[in-house]
Amino acid sequence: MPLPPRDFGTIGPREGEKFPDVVLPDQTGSMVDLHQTRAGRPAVVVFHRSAEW
Amino acid sequence: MELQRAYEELKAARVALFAISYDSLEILEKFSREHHIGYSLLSDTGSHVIRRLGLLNPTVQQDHAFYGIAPNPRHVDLPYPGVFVLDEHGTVTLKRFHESYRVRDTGGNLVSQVIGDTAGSTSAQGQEDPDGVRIRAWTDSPTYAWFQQLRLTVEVTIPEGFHVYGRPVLSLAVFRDRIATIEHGMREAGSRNARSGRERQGVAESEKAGVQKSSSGWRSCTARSSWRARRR
Repeated sequence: MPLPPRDFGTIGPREGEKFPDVVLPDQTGSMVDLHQTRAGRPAVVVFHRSAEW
Repeated sequence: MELQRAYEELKAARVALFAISYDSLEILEKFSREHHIGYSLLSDTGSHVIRRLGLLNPTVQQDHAFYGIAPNPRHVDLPYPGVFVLDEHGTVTLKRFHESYRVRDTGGNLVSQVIGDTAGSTSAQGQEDPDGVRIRAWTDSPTYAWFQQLRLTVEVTIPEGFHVYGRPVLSLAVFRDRIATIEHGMREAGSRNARSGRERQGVAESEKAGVQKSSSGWRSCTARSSWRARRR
């Protein structure tokens, strides 16, 4: 039986809203503050499964 | 790696790129080194940010069963796979999510969505019908791999004197013997209304050239679009 369709519009940060603050370490071990690193530029934020599989 | 290629273009356009996953720093460091990744791979170990943002997929096991992916203890605390595009103020302007972990955007797809469509592939072919309505179509990648999501752009140019009403419909794309659902973007050229009251219906076919043969044997994409052009 097929999965019911999801309304991705309501899942996660919404269009028209400011993307939440995110502070995480990157592959070099440095802490990255997403908005600060963005530094006034547009940005693309990709959520994916794992780099391993 | 598709995203790394997209990164080069995004960087040139002054667009930042961040990838977030639950992978540990060790895994990300290794991946970054092996694939020469230039953009930030952010480590959300424990999926806390994923959870806080409301992106945790609670039905991964079920989804994977549906998509024929074997059950795996690593498939926990996964986010919905997707992309957010932010403008210079950090406001979300676009979000794209996929039902399946197996579907991936091509890098070009991502870039064209963020930066805007380019003028189109130089190898795009077009056709003109007797009324001078011209159609061109191109995909964003010359190759196709399984579960890749291609962007097909169909450009319809309408001469002066014609008014297009209704929405041109891309009815089908045929890949050898199977029909694939692909996303498409349409760019319409507007025109002024003219005097007479005749109605014409036109159908044009456009074949995208330059598509390579993939392992699945897909050779070319035929896009058919129909519309009504009316003189008013």
